Amino acid sequence: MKIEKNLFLAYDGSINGDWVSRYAIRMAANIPDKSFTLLHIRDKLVPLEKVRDGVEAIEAESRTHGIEVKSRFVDLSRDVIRTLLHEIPPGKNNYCICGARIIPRGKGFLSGTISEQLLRLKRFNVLAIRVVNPGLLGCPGDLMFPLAGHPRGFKAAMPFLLMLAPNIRRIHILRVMGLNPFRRRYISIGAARTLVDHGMSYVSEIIEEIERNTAETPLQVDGAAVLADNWANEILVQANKVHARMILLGATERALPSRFFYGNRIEWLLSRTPCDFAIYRKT
Amino acid sequence: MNNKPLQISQQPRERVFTYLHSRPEGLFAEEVVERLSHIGHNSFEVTDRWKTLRSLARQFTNFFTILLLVSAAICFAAHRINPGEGMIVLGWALLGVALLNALFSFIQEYRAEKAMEALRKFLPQLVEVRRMGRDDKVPAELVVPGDVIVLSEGDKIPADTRIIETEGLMVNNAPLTGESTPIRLVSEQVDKPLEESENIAFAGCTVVRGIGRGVVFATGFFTEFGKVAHLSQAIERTSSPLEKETSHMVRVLTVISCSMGFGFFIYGVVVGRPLWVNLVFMMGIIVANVPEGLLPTFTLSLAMGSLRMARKNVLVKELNAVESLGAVHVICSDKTGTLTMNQLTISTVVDPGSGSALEKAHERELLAMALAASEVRPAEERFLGDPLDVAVARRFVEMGGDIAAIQNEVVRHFAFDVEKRRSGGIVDLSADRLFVVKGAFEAIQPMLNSVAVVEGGKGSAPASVDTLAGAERVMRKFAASGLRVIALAYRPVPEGMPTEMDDEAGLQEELEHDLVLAGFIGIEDPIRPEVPGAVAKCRTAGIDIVLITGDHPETAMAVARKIGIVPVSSEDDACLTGDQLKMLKISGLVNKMEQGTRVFARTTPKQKMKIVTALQAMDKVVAMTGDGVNDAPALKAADVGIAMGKQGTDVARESAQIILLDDNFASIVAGIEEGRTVFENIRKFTNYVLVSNGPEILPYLLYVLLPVPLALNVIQILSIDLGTDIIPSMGLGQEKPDPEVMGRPPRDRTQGLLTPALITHSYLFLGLLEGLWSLFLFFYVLISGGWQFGTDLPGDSPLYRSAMGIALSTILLMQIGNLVGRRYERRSGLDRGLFANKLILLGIIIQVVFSWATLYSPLMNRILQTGPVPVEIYLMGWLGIILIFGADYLRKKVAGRLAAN
Repeated sequence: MKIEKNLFLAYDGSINGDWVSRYAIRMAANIPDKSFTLLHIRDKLVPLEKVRDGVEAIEAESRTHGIEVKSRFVDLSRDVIRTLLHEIPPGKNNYCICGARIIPRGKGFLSGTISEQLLRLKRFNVLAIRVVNPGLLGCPGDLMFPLAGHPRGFKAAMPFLLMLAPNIRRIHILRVMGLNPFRRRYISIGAARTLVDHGMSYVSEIIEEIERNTAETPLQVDGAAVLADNWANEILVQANKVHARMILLGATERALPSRFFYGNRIEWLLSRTPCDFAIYRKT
Repeated sequence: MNNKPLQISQQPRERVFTYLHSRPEGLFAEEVVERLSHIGHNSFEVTDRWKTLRSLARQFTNFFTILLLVSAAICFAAHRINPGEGMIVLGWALLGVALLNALFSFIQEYRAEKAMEALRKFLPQLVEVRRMGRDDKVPAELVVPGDVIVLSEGDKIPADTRIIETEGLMVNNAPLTGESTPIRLVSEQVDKPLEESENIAFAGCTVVRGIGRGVVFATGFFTEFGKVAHLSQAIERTSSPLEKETSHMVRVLTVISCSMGFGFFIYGVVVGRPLWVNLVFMMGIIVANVPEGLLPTFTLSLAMGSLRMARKNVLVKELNAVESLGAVHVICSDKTGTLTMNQLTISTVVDPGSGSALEKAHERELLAMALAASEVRPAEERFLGDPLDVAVARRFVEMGGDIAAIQNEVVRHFAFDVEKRRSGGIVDLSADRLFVVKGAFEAIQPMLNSVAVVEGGKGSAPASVDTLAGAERVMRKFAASGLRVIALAYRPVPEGMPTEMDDEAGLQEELEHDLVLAGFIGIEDPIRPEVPGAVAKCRTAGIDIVLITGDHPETAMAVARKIGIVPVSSEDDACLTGDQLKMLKISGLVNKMEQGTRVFARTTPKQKMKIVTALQAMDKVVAMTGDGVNDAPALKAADVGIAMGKQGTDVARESAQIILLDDNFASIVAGIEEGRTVFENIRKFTNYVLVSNGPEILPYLLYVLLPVPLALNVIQILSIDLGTDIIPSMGLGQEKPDPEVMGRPPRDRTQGLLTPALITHSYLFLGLLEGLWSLFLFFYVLISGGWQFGTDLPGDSPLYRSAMGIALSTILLMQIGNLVGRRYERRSGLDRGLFANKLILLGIIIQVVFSWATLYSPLMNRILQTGPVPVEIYLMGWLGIILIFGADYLRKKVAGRLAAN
């Protein structure tokens, strides 16, 4: 299914930026005009020469995949985020791919970063990626989608999935049914079963939704619902259990205001992820 | 996925540097720093400063512990308000029990860390890395993606690496795949997913031979080995069935005791009793309701069960696993070494055309050829090498062959290639130079030109469709009888062909065509003699067995049929292969298993996890066996992880709860029988202990509701719960298995330890009986001593002390009748023989001695605030034994009749 999309890569010249660009190239291969815009804001954090080398390498690699790259070096106006917001038009068809990387002050992979602000501002669709296995070259193969049980189902995630789908073999949907540690410990077998069944029926609906939308792509979609008192840890455990190469986690709408981003869970996940990790947010 | 080159394994060698942002001279220092800051160190360490503290704190969230702590706190408060009542002793006793329980659980959890230590040994300390044009040894944890590393024989591989240069580089991937046969690595692109590619050297594996160079693309937890390490660390085992049932019981008892205690506290406040008296009563009711000695007795019973299991070669690392093993619905077992003896022996060598056994001379000739494609080293009276090669060598020697003579004639050896599933060699035999190939028939078949015909004289028939189909029929026939079948083929090496050329792969490729199929070697791994009986026992006990093996499906099915895992009539398609498993969703696998699939062939250790997940989704309690490093996650994910003591790796052993000292399946079944017995015994002593709660609660109810003295004080209650009841409970915990314990299906997990029937029987039948008889004697002593209803008695009044003494003494004596009756559910209990269980006998003696001492020992009188009664009244207390035992026996008879009707 081809949908009109404009792809932007916010490239900072870092090694993570180079690795993230692979995802941009792969995703661009699945949008109608097979192109993306590379934006570099001249913030002088990375020497310009190194940035130029990086951009040239990305352009060369894109050419081998038949992807057109429109590279733009933009002068910094006030700060990086404002410059980016000025360059990327708002809208539901615009997608910005950026990196989640450790920043010099070492606050974390997301908190305090440009990516976090982009996700929070919700002006366009954002996908922030931390790449830990550059050998995948943007083709994770096995993808895990942890879902929070949102009544809207998979709608927010679908456009991102459709762009990644050609490089995916298997999708694992995970619904973690959160319990407090005390309840987790004392929950009866019957009550646990009821909760898991409830989670599985949600997962089944999502699987059907994905299969409907990806009928053209040969994908194996499987799912699980599990009980956990530490949902973040459970995501990592399940990701390893199914040998996921990438975790794609939605920035939930419910808890978004600062608590979600500044809270430790996302950072905790990003710092301990066993595979590439992406956080998406739809406008 | 699209067909373009995708991941790094699928990229041509010359593009690897570009894709990994590296260069042949290696990375610059600043690049290493940048990558280290982003990716982190190449290690499996997760720094979690609070982990130990958190784990310790978690032990105190146990309901029972909380209850004990609250009770202790009340005691300390009561002591402060009103010292000299002995409340401080009680407080310390309760605190001690709570701390001991928590500490014990903490120590068990802390031991899980050892698996990580075992995993760390798989990574090297130093690695030869090329950076800024210089080869240098750097600490392995400083290796980053893009680093160019050099691998040589004996090296441990530090990170997942794309090989770009190789000179006969062979690696042992056993830690990841469980397959100990070395794999030859290549530098060319391979069109396979990364984890299956032969151009990737994986972290945690070892270089067996050759040298090579590669570019690192994943480090630490991001490697394949890192995933195993992460799972071995992060998977939290779900609560054991016993833990769940205990917690349910504790919850029920807590609710009962707290609501009663609080209810009476409020009642006391309303009727205007002093606060101190109300507090004592609230605490008294709580203490009377909580079987303080039960949890320590659980632990003791499990510990004793684990000792008995150890005698059956089942070493238990986590006490809860004793009972969990008894609750299993499914055992997922490896084949080799567990169900079979892991002693490969050649049982037949056959003609590929007719399938008939070869004559001795011909067989020896064939074995000599097979030896040329084998790698064995003679050692003191045995051979070292791959078990299959060793079997060939042993048979050859048995037939009078000279191994050294053959090995001297081997010109070239081609090691076993896991992907190609064959090995080879060039040997000079009888003046001919032959190229020999040994391996799976499917792997050799495409290279065949002819098939040897032995019957009717030597010769060969062209490899037509019919001839090959005939050979395949022969192979299948032997595989179906449980033999592992190896095909042997050869061809003369053309004269003048150089056999010493360096390009081994090229030479092999040049020779691998126009082969003559010489014969099939049937190899048997004998089934352990005790296994069929153990499997039959499992069937009777309602336990399913799932066979998981890397073997050929037909071999797996044949073994499964032989030992009774599947019916003899079952078709081969009742088996699932690893490839089929890969394509199945969990729900699909559940369907397959519900339809009766019990055999998994050609599987990898990784796939064990999927099988465990499916079985757990079916609400089964799963026991999983394993020995390799890569089995560790599945061992942790299963309800009971069982590692092999002989063949097992340290990692598997540290990840499992149970270690099988003799690697024998039959020992698991013996362990299950013991586990079931432990649960039955726990149920027996829970019932026994709860009976004494009745006579402990009743006096408080009477005291609050009527103007009568309190028949039992808190110290006296604790003397029962933490004193005299402990040894008899332990005695019940030591009872031998009932004959029918393995004749019943696994117990229903939804039915807890504390069933309504057990509560009714404990509190409302036997407990009430004990309470009524002890209170009868209490009031008998009071009334015969001149007490009148409604009058108050001072606490130190001799009459009151004597009355309390006989009440306590009667409860102790009646517990003897209760104890004997608990030994059998349906029979009297006397028929077990009082002398058969020494702890029960000791428990009875203790009850008798204490019942006497309570009344007549001045020391005990002082401690327990009791006094003596005339002997005839004491003897009336003895009547209680007959009363409780007789009433219970009558109940058993009536229940038996009703059940029969």
